[in-house]
This record gives sequence, structure tokens and C-alpha cells, in this order.
Amino acid sequence: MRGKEETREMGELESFHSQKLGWIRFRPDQVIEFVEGLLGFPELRRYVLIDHRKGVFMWLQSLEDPSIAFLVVDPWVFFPHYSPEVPDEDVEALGLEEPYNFSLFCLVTVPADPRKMTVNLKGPVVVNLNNRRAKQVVVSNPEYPIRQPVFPEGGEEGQGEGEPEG
Amino acid sequence: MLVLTRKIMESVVIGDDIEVYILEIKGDRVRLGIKAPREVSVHRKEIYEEILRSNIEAASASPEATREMDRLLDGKPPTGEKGR
Repeated sequence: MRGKEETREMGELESFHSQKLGWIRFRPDQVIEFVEGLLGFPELRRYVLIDHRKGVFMWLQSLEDPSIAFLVVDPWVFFPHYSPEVPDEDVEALGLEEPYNFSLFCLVTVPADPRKMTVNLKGPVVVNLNNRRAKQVVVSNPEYPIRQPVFPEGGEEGQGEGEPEG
Repeated sequence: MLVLTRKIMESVVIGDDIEVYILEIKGDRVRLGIKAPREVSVHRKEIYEEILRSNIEAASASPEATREMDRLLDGKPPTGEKGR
């Protein structure tokens, strides 16, 4: 019987069994290395991003703990005016240099009632695409909440509604 | 907890390479300056704790909740309700 943590190399692709997503396949160059673990998960450093259906959400799946996967989203889909200020120390820790080549996404919390789902705009994850280093940063902007509702009161999805100022 | 008294512009060294300076004292507020290597994060404690809690919740999204989210984004009624 194979253990869930086992990875098998299949030529270019690696396989991993995620508790939430089942068997997933990815190339080694898709692996993300966190320079510090996500807050609360200090020992988990290696992750991969897997599409959630064909939409804007993805799963940040740990490659070290098959039970850990975070739903994440490109924040600009819901908050087009989002302008996070990443602290200099984090830019340095990630080895980010001009011309910046990075990706940024936010963790999503989905409670039992999905109309109450929230996005963490205060602590996005930044990935340096040149070296695959990642970090959850705490943006300097004071106005972005850790739990920003996606939907305004009433549960209807609105363009730009429920968006924070600034 | 180690308790020390410092005056303005004095500092405390933690470990080998973290230094905390008292820069200014105004009423009930203290302005701190923190020197730490770039790989050490420094946050206001409440923010750190809240993000930590939020991360843990985000990791606990149940398959049912994710399915309901998908239904919501597809414009379908929640499971258990009749269509509108």
C-alpha cells in the first residue's frame, strides 16, 4: 500500500496525493518555495498551485502535508482597485528586483454560508516568478482588512461593491 | 517575561541580531524602532494573530462549503433551497 505522502516521478511530471484534491500532477518548476511558512504553518514551505475548476480560484496545496490546501484567488477579480504596498523587507527577502516578475494572490475563507466568504487583503502571498520564492506579506496599507467580504450585504455579487476604500 | 526599563534612544538586543530601540515616548504611546535580519518578520501582535487565525480558517474550508461557493458563483440556488 502506498502512503499518501509518496511522490512519484513520471518523466517531467510529479504526482502527489492531496486529501482535498486527490491525485495532482505538476512539473518541478511549478513548485513554490516559501522563505517563511504561512503564519500558523511555519514548517510548511513547499507548495504548488492547482486550478479550481476553470475559474479564478486556485488551491495552494502543501507538498509536505497532504491535508493542507488553501483556496486562493487573484484579488483584482473582485477588487480591481486593490493596490497593496509590499514592505521593502519582503521585497528583499523574495529577491525581487526590477523588472519585477511576480504573482500575487490572497487566501480565501469560505464559511458554511458562502455568501459570507472573505478574502485576506492584508496578508497576500507574493511569489517571485524568477526564483519561485514566496512569502505571505503584511501590506503596509492600513485600510485593507484581513477578512474582506467578497459579497456586499444581501449576497448578490456586485462589480466593485463591498470594495474597501483606497 | 523579562522586564527592563529603558530611556529614549536606548535599546534592547534579542538573540544575536534583533535590536529594539525606544525612539520616542508621547503620552501613552511608545515609538519603537526594530532592527532585524530580513528573514525575520516583525508585525504588530494583533495583526499577526488575526492573520494566523484567518489562515487556519482558510485551511479548514470544508468540501461542502466549497461546493456551495461553486453553486453561488454559478448562479445556482444553495443546496436545500428551491430555485428562484
